[in-house]
Amino acid sequence: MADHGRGPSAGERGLALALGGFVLFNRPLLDVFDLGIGVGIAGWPSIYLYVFGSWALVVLLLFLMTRRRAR
Amino acid sequence: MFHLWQLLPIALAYLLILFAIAYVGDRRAERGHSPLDHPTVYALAIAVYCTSWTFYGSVGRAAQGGFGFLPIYLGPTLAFAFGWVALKKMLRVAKTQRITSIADFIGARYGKSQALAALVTVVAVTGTVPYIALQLKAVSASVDVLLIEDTAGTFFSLDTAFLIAAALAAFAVLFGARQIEATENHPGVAAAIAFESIVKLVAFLAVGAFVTFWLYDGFADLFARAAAREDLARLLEFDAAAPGWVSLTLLSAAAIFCLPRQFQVTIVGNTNERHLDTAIWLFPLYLLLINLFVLPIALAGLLAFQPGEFDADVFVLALPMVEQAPLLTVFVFIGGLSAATAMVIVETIALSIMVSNDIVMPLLLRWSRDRLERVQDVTRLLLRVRQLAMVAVLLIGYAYFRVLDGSFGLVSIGLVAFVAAAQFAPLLLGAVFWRGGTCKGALIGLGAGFAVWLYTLFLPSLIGDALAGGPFGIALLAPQALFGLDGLDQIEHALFWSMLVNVGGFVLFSLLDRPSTIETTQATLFVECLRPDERPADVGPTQVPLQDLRRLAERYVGIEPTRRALRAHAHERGIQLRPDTLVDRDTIQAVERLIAGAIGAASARVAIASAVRPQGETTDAILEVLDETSQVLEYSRRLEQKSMELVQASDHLRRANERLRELDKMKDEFLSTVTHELRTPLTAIRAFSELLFDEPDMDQDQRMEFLGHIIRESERLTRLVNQVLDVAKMESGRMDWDIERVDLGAVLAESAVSVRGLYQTKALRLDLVRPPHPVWVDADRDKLQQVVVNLLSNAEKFAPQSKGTVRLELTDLGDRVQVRVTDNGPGVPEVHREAIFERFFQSNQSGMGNPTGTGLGLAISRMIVEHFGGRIWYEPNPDGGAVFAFTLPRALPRIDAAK
Repeated sequence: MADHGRGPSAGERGLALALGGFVLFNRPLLDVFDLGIGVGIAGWPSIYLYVFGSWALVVLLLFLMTRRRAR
Repeated sequence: MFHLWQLLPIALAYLLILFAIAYVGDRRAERGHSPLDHPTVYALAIAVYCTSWTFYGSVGRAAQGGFGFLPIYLGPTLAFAFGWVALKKMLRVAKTQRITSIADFIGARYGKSQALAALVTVVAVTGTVPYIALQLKAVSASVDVLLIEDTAGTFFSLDTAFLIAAALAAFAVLFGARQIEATENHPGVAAAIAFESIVKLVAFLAVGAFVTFWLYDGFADLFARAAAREDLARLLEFDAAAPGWVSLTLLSAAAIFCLPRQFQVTIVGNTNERHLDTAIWLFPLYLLLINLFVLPIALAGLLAFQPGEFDADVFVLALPMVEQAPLLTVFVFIGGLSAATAMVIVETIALSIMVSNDIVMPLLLRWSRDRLERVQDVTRLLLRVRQLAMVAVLLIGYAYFRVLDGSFGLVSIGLVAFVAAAQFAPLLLGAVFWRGGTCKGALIGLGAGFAVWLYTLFLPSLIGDALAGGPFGIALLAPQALFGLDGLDQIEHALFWSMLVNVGGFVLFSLLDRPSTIETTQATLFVECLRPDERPADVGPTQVPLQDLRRLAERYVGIEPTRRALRAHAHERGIQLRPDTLVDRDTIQAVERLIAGAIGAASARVAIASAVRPQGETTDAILEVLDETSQVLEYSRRLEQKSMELVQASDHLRRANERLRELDKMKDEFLSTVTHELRTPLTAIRAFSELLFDEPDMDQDQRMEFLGHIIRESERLTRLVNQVLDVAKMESGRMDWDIERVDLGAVLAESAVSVRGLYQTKALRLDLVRPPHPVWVDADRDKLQQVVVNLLSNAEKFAPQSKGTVRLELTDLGDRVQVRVTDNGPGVPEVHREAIFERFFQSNQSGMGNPTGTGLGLAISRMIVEHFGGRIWYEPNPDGGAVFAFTLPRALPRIDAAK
């Protein structure tokens, strides 16, 4: 069985994703994007975009993580 | 907007649809197409996490604190990412141990402890009560909003909430307690819950879309309008949401696993580990979607309504209602109802399983065992208990709702339940990651955390600020500010203190404790469950006949499932199981697992114990027996045995090696001695031959003398070579022995005859004394004669000339016969008595000459005698001289004595 550094295990990846998500969903990153209601894309407040955008990103990464395992 | 006569049928119709789905789901499952075969159903069932709290309460919280509702959903997202491995372990263990609930899981892990399982049940029930009250509050609030009739919260002088509670109880019982499942999977319920999750999501998205795109011109428009108002603008900034953001995230991350209903659908309700791979991302996606419109709806409501006109919790209903969209309004109402019923059904099922398995059953087993034995069908009893438990839980929930202090909003009530559930988190994590967690530690940790929760959250929720100054005025013990820790949100405060004593107690007392055998076994089983399976050593049969075990199982699980399970077990192990077969531990464990599916692991253990031992012994003694003879002990005993055998084997090898070396040395010595011995006569022969050759004129007498020497030495050489050959053959076992029945007396006589010439030359006397009858031995005739002749010729060599007498005597000693050769020669000095039987030992060494001796005679005689099973030795003659004697075993009489 080929075993040249197969990369992080599922558990490690999950942990990394969780920690990354925790950082994403918190200050100070949150404050970086909290630019006030006026500032945003097409009237969407930046913070709203940021929160749901990063949430969607986390979900996507979760999806990819499981696809990798299924292979 | 609606009359009761319009609303009620719609609600009932929806609930009936749900019931139909559950029914069809169960039927299909029986036929092999279980709804739980689809990973999507599994993932959507997990979405029961979103209750009417999500549906109504999120908007309410958003109206106050902007994004502050979000951590409750971000937490589970992160938890699913992080907890994948933990979940896998829990799933694996739950499957193999037939876990039926979170109480079962925790109790099973920490030593199959009934006490711990019972405590978990109590905590779960108490902690769920606020949550159920929350559902009742939400639904009754939604009904109040919609009804045109100003019922002021009562109907037919019956409280709306009570009616709702009653209706929910009825449906919970119908859904969840119709039959005892062997695995507590409830595929029908799972299908219904999944359906409800879809309804919830669609309804919420519908109203969200309605508000955003119909009432306003999209997100941009809505946000712009909100930003224009000062009081609303702040909601769009993070500051409004900041308080409790982190702690709420963590709390929800714990709750997604620790809430009894979540554990039930995620772990117990899982049929296939692979489904987890889908749920890991599908569930967070669901959470994302259902929260998309929360803030927009809140803003829209604040924009549309005057403060106080509608409670923010019901904006979701109020907005479409005010905008004259009746269909949507009803749809939203159904969505909210859906959310509430899903929660209640699953939660009460989970709680009823725990109450029946971990509180009622153990009590029954312990106190009225005989009464229980007389009950033919325990499954009916179990069902009754569960139904009662469901109704009781709803009643208590209703009572709590009534007594609840008004200051708590929906979300806050829910968080009280979250903190209670979070008390299980350390124990769950410890269950699959920390082998050191013990039962005592778990009991103390959980108990302490629960007590703190009761004091800091549950109590204040009922009595409000009455104790704000501390009991009896002791400010340090104030429920909302323990030990002076104020400045924290009430939830955070309670979470901090309860977690502190919980984790602290759990870790500390686990480290101080010494776990029992069963705790260690279970700890290993749980923590190492993802390692490849190793079957422990098979233990022998017990004293329990199969039919006892079978009857026991049938009472708890039913006849058919028992038969199937036993047949599968026998087939898997390749053994035969008949009614009177004494079962072994493997089978007992298999049956224990089967029963555990119905009544929980802890109770199953006690039930099995009653079958394995006769009545009369105390439960503790029985359990001790089960503990102390656990498979772990047996396995380690066998390991010890194996290692001892290994040590012995290596010892043998070492000794064999030493012996081989010795033999090798002896062989070398033998070779060197033999060659030396050969050389002596050869040298003599050569010397005399050369002399004869060199002097052809030697005189006749001289010549004859020399030739005589040559002849004698040649004879000696021949004798030596023959003897060496004999020795070699005898030692390597290649000697041909011709064993037959021999008359020893005749052999002696013949030997005497053969040495007569020799004796006459030296004028010696030979006396032969033997019994008149034949003396039979089993021996090789020629070799036997060789021995006797050897002894006689030895005696002749050392007997004094002309006065020597040699006595050859045969005596019958019963089971042995003895031959003695006595002479009156010089005898053998004491030091040599054993050595004379060694090879190449010659008396020349002591100065007495025997120039014709080879030194092998006695050695060969010994080998021959010992081959026949006898013994040969030397004794000193009391009259001076030597006695050589040997014994042989007497030949056993033959039945057909042939002569």
